[in-house]
Amino acid sequence: MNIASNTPRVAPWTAWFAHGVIAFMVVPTLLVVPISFNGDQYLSFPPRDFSLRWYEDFWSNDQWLHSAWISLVTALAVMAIATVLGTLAAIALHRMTGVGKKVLLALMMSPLMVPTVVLALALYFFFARLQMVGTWSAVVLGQVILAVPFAVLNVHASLQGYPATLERAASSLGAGPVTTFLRITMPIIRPGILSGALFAFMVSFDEFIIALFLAGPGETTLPVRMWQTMQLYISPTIAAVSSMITGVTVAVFIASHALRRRATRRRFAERQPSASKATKGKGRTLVRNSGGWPGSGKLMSKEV
Amino acid sequence: MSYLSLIDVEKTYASSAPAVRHVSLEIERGEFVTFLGPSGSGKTTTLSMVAGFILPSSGRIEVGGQDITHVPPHQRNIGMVFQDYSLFPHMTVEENIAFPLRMRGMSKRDITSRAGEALEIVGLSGFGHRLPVQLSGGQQQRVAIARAIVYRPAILLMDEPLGALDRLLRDRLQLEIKQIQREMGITTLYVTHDQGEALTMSDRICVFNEGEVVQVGTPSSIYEKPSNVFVAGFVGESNFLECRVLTRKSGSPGNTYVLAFPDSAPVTVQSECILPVHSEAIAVVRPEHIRVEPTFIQPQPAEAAIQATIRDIIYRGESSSLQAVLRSGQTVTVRIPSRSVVLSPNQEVHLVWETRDTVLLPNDKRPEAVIEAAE
Ligand SMILES: Nc1ncnc2c1ncn2[C@@H]1O[C@H](COP(=O)(O)OP(=O)(O)O)[C@@H](O)[C@H]1O
Ligand SMILES: [Mg+2]
Repeated sequence: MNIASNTPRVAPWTAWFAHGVIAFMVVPTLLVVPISFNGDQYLSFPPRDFSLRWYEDFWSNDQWLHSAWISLVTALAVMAIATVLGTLAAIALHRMTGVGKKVLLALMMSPLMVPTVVLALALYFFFARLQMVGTWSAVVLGQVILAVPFAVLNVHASLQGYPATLERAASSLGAGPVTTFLRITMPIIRPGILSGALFAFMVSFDEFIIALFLAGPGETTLPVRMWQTMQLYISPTIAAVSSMITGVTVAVFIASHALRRRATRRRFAERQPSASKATKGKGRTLVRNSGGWPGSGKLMSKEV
Repeated sequence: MSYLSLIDVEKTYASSAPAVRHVSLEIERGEFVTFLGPSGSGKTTTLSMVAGFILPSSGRIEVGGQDITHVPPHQRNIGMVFQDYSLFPHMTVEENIAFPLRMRGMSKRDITSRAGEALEIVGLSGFGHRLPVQLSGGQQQRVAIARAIVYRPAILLMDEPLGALDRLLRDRLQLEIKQIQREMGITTLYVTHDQGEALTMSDRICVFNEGEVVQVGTPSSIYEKPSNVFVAGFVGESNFLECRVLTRKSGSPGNTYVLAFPDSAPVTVQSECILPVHSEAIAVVRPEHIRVEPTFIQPQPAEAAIQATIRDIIYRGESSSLQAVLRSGQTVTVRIPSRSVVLSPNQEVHLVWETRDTVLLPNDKRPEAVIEAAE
């Protein structure tokens, strides 16, 4: 598929405007990268000489490394919990109909609409009651609330084309509900689950407000540590950290895209050329070309 | 002793009229029974209760004398084929067919050989490594059939399995399914809304209308002796002629009625139907049983004749369909071989049929309404 050929013709100024918007969205983030390789003491652009000292600063600093570790573990925990909850919720939603479904879906999406500060504040009071403020679990649970909508949306989308009769077919063939879920439903909606999981991971990995409100001094996540560092002075180490986080994010999304492409290819694999060829009465050539189906040529050329 | 019994089965979906009412059926082992009826008449619902996908609101389902009403579908040992094939898209053809065998804990070797056999039965050996998307509709349905019979289930259920296929393929698969069913001797319930399919394939047909079974019988008895106006209109084409009962003579096997039609001499008809004298009745006559004669020819003693005017002649290949209008304004359809058509519109004719080809039914509903419902 050629993307360029699918682009409709547009007036030149529209194209320039679009390019401008895209540049505005991307360039500030990308500027951080050259800054992080700057040899200077201060954040400056353009960089005057190339150096890896700020990366070295990060990797040799226990506090930074600890925060990175906390962020990673937190994101993994959030991902696991949000994916399981989101998948189950999406399947339940898929089976529902009518008003109940719409209301429930809206409720599940509400964390996307409520300002995160409000949510963080509410959680602060809530966890204060439970004496959980300053604990790692509080951060995880709080971020799960933000991550679940992404898992629900992704799984729900992948269930759209899923025929309900597949589960009936599986049960008629002797599979109980659990086997049916593990062997039929799960593999089919796996791309949705995976991208939901990646979204959940990213939501947690760069989440700042909830972590700031709920984390204790021992559980400072990477974004919170960056913010704290910036309170003191703006060290170019921050640029290095930012570049690495951006790198991880991009890598994760490329990976998820690749995964989905692979899944789609397998499921909606192009029809064998046989289908069209055979109807034109070229059954014999077909069998020779594709090889390996001895004896099936006759049937193929008649049928299809 | 019947094998599969539905005993006064009823299903009401949440807050609506019952989708299936008072369905009682006795099905013999190895029998091929078709549920025939218009869409929405409750066929799928009934089949789903046999499969165990939905629970009857009341009534029982028994297999071999055992009540299975509350047995979950995966423990019923029933095979099912769906209209949309329902092949598992992430598994190859072979994995699809092996699935029920794996669920039954069979050894790898047995699975391979059984799956191979099943593929051979449906004529798809060599296609085992393809994914369902790489097959045509007809091939996918063959795989679905192989998957449903490979574990030799006690009962095979098919819900409009050929509904999505084109005409030629459908005709061929009808014969193949029938052949597989007969060779395996598998008790089969088959759902269709296509009366031709039902007549070709079934040992017995069970006609559904509005959630009720309105007639059960062999294809020929359903076609030749419809027991109500709905069946007469839904299975094959019918002309419904309104008439009045003049006299009745009881006897065996049936009663002898003398009927009065408008614009015709009284007609004597035998029928097992019990109708009071002077009541309104409907005489059902199939289009292919009617002849067209010139008005000067008098009918034979065992024949009925009605005056009509030809309105239209529609060529349909081997036969032609003739529309004739009675004095009452009713249109009657006549089917005659195309070669013998020597008629032209507006001609006055006699429509003649043998009285034994008449099916007499009580006039409890307006037939037009029933036919509309059927379409
Ligand atoms: N899940 C359902 N919920 C509510 N009503 C249903 C459901 N399934 C079927 N019905 C209704 O039950 C009736 C019978 O449907 P169905 O058994 O599917 O008919 P058929 O298979 O003969 O076309 C219809 O009126 C249909 O609208
Ligand atoms: Mg149906």
